[in-house]
Amino acid sequence: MFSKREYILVFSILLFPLVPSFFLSGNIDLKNFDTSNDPFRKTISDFDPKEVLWLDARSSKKYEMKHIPGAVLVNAKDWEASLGRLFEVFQPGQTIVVYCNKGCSSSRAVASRLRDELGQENVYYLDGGMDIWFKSTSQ
Amino acid sequence: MVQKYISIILRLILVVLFIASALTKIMDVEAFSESLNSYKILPIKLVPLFSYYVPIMEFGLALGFLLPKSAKVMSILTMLVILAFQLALASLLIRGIDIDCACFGKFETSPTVALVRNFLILGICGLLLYLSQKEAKLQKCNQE
Repeated sequence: MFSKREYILVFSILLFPLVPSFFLSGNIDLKNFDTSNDPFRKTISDFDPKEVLWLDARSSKKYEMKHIPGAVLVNAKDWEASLGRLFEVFQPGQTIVVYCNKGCSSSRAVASRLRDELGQENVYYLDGGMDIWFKSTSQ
Repeated sequence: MVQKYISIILRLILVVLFIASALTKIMDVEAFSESLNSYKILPIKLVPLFSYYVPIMEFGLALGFLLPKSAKVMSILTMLVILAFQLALASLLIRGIDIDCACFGKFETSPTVALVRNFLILGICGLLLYLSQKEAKLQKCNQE
């Protein structure tokens, strides 16, 4: 079906990238992915949903489609405007919980950035994301 | 003659697509690795390896289309790669994981849009394969 030249081409494209990838992969810290022991990862039962300030870390398009009532849109793409919206409702010391969809990692990044920029530690991200919140409220 | 130009244009489209895809991933490889991890398909230990493997392989695909007489094999290989991507995207939809596909780095694309776009790429590859086989037959006839 294929000539020898074509087989060499296929194997070069599929196998050669493994070599640089193997050496470069050390640049990525695995700790970024393992959140099992992260103290800032919280489940829905860890909060009183009415007492916390919910932040939505998804895109504005997804936020407009559906979000936790009262949640403020705060995402990395539009950071300055996000902070403006946040400061309109934020009270210093208030517990903040950032969420995105199930399986999304942007809530963790937003929570971490807010901890740095607001200088307060009680900024968490929701394990399981928005889906968990809606499931818990529908029960 | 027209077919030859169509084939060149299709190949160039794929070259541009794969180079753009590879560059946007490799320029923010950490973000891509996080997205890849969000797919929850690969074991965590393999995520860093594949975070580099995918863009470098895509770059290889782009270069492959630039080689002469490579349309047939490159079309088939690209179709197989895109099918693997399609399976990953479909699994996201089935499992209800609503994340950006990370196909072009920071540029947001939903898995559904990516699925449709990949079908278009499959179509381009299919057309390229058809044209390359037609050209091969024509060359064979000329030789005989």
